[in-house]
Amino acid sequence: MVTKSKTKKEEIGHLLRRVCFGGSKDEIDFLSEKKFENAVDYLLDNEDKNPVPTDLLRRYQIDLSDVRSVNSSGAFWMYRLAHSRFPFDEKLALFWHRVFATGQNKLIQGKVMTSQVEMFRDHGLGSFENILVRLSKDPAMIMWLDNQDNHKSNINENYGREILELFSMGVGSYSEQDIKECSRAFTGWTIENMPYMAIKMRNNTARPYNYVAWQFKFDENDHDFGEKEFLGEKGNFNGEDVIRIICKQETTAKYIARHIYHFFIKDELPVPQWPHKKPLDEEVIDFIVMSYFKHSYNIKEILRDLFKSKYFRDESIINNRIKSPAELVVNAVRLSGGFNIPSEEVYQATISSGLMGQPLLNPTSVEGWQGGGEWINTGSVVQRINFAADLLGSSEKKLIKNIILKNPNKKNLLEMCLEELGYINLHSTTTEALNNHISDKDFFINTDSISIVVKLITSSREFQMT
Amino acid sequence: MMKKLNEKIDIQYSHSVGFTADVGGRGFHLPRDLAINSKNKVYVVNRSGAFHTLGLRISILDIENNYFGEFSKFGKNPGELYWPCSLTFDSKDNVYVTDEYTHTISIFSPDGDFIKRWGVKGDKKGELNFPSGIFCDDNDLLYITDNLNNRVQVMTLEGDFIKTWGKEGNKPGEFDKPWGIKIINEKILVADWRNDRIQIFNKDGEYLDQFGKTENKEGELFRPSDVTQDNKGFYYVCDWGNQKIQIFDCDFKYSGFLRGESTLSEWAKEYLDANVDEKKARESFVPVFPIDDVEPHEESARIESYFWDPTSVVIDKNQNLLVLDSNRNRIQIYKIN
Repeated sequence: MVTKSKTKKEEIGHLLRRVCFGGSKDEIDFLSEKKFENAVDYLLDNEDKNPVPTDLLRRYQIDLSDVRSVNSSGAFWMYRLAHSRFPFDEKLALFWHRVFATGQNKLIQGKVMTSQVEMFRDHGLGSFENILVRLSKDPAMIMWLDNQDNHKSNINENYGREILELFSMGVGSYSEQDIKECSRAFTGWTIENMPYMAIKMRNNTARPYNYVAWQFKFDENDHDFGEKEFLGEKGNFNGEDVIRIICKQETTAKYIARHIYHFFIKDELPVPQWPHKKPLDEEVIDFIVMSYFKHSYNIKEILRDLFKSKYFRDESIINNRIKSPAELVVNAVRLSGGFNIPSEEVYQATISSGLMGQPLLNPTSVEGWQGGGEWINTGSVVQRINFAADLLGSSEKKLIKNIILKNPNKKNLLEMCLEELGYINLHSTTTEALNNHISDKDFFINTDSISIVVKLITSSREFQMT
Repeated sequence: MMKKLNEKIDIQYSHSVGFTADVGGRGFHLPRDLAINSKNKVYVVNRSGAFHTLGLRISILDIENNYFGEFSKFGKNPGELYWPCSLTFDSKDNVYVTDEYTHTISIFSPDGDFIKRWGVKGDKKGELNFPSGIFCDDNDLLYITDNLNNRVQVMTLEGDFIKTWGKEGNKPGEFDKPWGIKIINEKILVADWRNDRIQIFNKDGEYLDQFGKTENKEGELFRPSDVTQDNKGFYYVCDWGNQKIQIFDCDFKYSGFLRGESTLSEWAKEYLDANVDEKKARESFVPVFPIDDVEPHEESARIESYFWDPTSVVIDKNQNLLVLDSNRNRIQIYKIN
């Protein structure tokens, strides 16, 4: 159990950890001057209109320019996650990457995955209907779920099924006939130069001239313009029509609400269990569903309602969700002052996230990462602790330097460290153990001892949670 | 658009050399620089990637598609390279390669035998911090763009300091992460990468002139990586950020651009001959099609014949313009008429 008393700064720390990737002491101090609701608005309304320049990255870390491999495309995104000035849109992209899990292991080339994330970044805060249309036209998704093989004369129902099962409504909310009709509506949604691109993907070859990034193409000669009956409605539906019908379903609202709850509030059951088990907290789901319709499916406004609600600030959810590997890594990197460019740090961070169980842009299946207890096993815990401790305990990095500049003494050292780490709140036994360590007669304040205290804090359960 | 040239200049695409070979052998992997020695052999620095280092080596070839071999590999030991960037030749055709990561210059014989390396990290005279471009003049002096020190250093072949100029900034004579460097007609041309301009100096390091403006409109530069000049005085700027070769006359008047128009190289054709399924699928391949409104880097990623991160430009004795097309692992060759 974490200490109950919650200061304004701790509450802002919670907001930044859930909505972004945590905040530095300066960021939390700045936002704490605002009312909580205004702090939410500040985070949501400051989209990164001038995203992090990537020229330095591409100049020196050159495989982050063609982003051919899964690690290089993951590293490219890791850099953006760690350096975005307003990381809410990056957090949203990470949310959509989890919901619309697409994996480079099948697609082979990383460039199209990077472009998919760009799409999430650009449109992920808008209407869910628009997001689904963009997703359905996204080349990586088309090839991931074989819609290039979905023809007028011979449908392939893979995408038609998954858009209903995993991306919008969940199993049990539609019939097998709906899947077929849905698939018919998406016939002809393919990519330019499909035959050649498909062969290159199958053969996994960068020859002759590296991969060629894909572009959406509507092939009207291969589109079924005939009448369809879908979810009780009849018409000459195309993909956009089908998505319009999907989005007005209450089951869609509930399904997306559960994903939002799962990502921003509390770890839910794994997605495959959702058709069979009720949500952990139906009151919150109902609240999000109401907001979904009130705001015409606008994701940003739904989240604004949620973050300002009592549910988001409830004691029971604070520091009670396990940070995903990406959240942990990006949180640590941001607290440490970001990546040095040029250096190999961005590669190391990307690999570490993968070793912890979350290789960016390469989820294990179309169901994505389940999260929660899945993140923790004997191997991943060691990796999580080592990464955070090594990085944040480094005397070369900003965090330790900041603490030293404040001339801490034995009485205030722990508090200073906790503030710099984002005003985190420790369990009373953890606090006691750290105080015992610091009050020891052989403990002297210097760079090494401060580093050790920081490493001990980052090794705690509390730091691993959000 | 594949190219746009004014009436004063006539350049025709000739052919391409190379294809992807990311574990060594004939071909390239993420090449950074090329140079031509006195025997008309082309040497290419393949940097390869951090997650995939097997393609790192120096390739030797000519523009008639002959491949003569390769040398060096990934590593930090003598004779190995970590983040190689550029190369040049002394009067004996020995090869000098900059290594940004180890802050050194490695020297190899024309056949690739390792001779020695020198260089230490630092910002004092003669020390290096991410050496990027390198060019050897007729007197066997090396001119190095000392990238993170934002200066040009002149060194002997043995690594002894001669002189330096420049500091961080955007005024004349100052630099922001300079990259490519060439000496043509006794003038030193420097691609002042993050200042989006080309600066010109005499061999004493005195500033003479500059051209280029920040932006991505026609005739403006964005992160130029290299520059050269033909025998009529036209400058060819490798505009890495805009994914073009931008051309200026001797008065720096904008004269047009090349966007890339690669066809299949001989090596690429041989590869397809051995992979019939790909060759067949390629029969319906449309190389250039209308694309969405995207920035030049993404445009290059989608159109195979365009330059994608061009990093180096060289003109040979026969006025062939060689453009190193880095992300496409090839050299596009144009004939300057």
